[in-house]
Amino acid sequence: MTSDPAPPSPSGPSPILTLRISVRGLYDSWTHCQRLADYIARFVASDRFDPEQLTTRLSTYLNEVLEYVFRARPSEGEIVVEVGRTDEHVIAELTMPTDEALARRLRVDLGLAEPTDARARYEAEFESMILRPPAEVGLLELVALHGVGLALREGEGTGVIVLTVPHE
Amino acid sequence: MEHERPFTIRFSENDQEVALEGSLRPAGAEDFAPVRARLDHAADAVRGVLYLNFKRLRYLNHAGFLELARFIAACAERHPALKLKLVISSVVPWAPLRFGFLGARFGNTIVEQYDKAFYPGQGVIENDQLVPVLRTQTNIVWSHERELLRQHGLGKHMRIADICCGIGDFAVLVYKEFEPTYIVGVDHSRPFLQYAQQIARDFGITDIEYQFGDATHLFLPSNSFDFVTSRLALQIFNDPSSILRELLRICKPGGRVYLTNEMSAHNYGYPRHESVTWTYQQAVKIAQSLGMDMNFGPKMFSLLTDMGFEDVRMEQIPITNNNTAIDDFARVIESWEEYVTGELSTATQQPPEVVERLRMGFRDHVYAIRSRRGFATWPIYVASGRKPGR
Ligand SMILES: C[S@@+](CC[C@H](N)C(=O)[O-])C[C@H]1O[C@@H](n2cnc3c(N)ncnc32)[C@H](O)[C@@H]1O
Repeated sequence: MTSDPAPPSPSGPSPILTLRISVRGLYDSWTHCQRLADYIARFVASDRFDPEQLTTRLSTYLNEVLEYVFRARPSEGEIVVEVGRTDEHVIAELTMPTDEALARRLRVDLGLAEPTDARARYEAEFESMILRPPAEVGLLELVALHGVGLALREGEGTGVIVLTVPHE
Repeated sequence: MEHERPFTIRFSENDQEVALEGSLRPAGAEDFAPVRARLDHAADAVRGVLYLNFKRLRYLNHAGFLELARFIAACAERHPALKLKLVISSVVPWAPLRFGFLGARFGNTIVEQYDKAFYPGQGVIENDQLVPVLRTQTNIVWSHERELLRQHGLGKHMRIADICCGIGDFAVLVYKEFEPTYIVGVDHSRPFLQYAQQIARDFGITDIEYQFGDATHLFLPSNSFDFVTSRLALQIFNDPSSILRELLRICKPGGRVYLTNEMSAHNYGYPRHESVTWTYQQAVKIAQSLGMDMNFGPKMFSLLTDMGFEDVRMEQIPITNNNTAIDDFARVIESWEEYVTGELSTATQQPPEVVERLRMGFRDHVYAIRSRRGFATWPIYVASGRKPGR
């Protein structure tokens, strides 16, 4: 499983879809996360070899990231979801507006989802999670158990979560 | 698999089972509380084992996963004698990863993957050790089968399903030869499907759909294919009719179901025929101990007839060292030797002397194939029937 946020493809991923969602709109309902995740996954997987399997996987991962964004609560503005594909991966980038505090939070939480020893760290976290409310380990779990890649890219007042999903 | 279904939870006291289905994505503990209440109620109501059936739970978020883990932890305290059995299906891709993780951490929890043991020989079949065997077989059978398929009703531009498609090479050959309007291959081996997808990709083919699935419970619609194939597959399944029923269901009325199977006891090589015959008979017995019937071929005519097919046709592909490329034929037998004396013998704990003798028989078969004055056979049975109505 790769941990590379951007797999080595000279031309970059070929784009499949871009969605813009107002931050305020997303907060209307928790269920928006799964609706979006299901929709994007089904769209992206539609022409693949085993569309049902890929839909299930993509929706599972995207939903986790969207739920994370929902909880992290960016300030006003837009969340942009861009999904593309390389030979090996589906790559989803979620761009959100950040202030100082959110940028710090993203660094901490995505730092925790670093691939090295992810499984061991998830296991350690898991023990304490049973006893207290969860820290943001849903992202770590994606890396530790499901073998997807997660990375953070920072821009001027934006944070981009990059999700890299092997086709199979 | 269906589209996104709402979440449901049902408790059957009689079966001591809670079935969770659809999509479970709570925002947190509070959101999960009603589900937790149902689970607690079930745990209070049963003794011994509580079954948690996740076979049709398509989505679970991490928050929900944690809440389930908390329930399991709480159960261990409140009901120390209670075991939890999590019943899962590998058709849901995240399920073995997450529930396997829980099973390894909680002493009160057992994970049962229902489709792991749904036929006895599964472990030795769905394994990538079998890839070279399947590949070489298809290579030499295709030259015969290509014409036979026409005689059994396969034409151009049809809707085709290949069930138990293995590594998908047959689907590729059919695709090239018959230009179907739609072709889907279904198999329950991930390594095979991965291989199939790789091959299709390498060959620049994007129009073959491969699905991970169970031939006895297909997600394909009824009455939707002109030609349904299942090759060398019914023979490895302990309940072949349950697959055939599904093939019949997805076939259009007036369409045909096409099967191939072997009669391994009739594999033959001369000279050294005694050794060859002993080995195949022994191999049939070993396979039988895993629920496979490697002599299933000739029984197809009865099965198709009994199940109501019309215009049942049956014949034999007589592969011999006279009508087949010698190197290819030899390679097939060598791949069997490797598979039977390795994977299969290990799985069934054959004593070393038996393994040795098995090996000799395969080598003698190869000897017959390659010998200037030898004669060797591998008969394959082909049968098809038409689905009534139209
Ligand atoms: C001996 S192989 C034959 C494969 C292929 N048809 C060929 O001729 O090369 C049998 C295949 O049946 C598949 N199989 C067995 N039971 C199955 C089931 N219930 N659902 C789907 N595939 C199944 C196995 O995974 C395996 O690929």
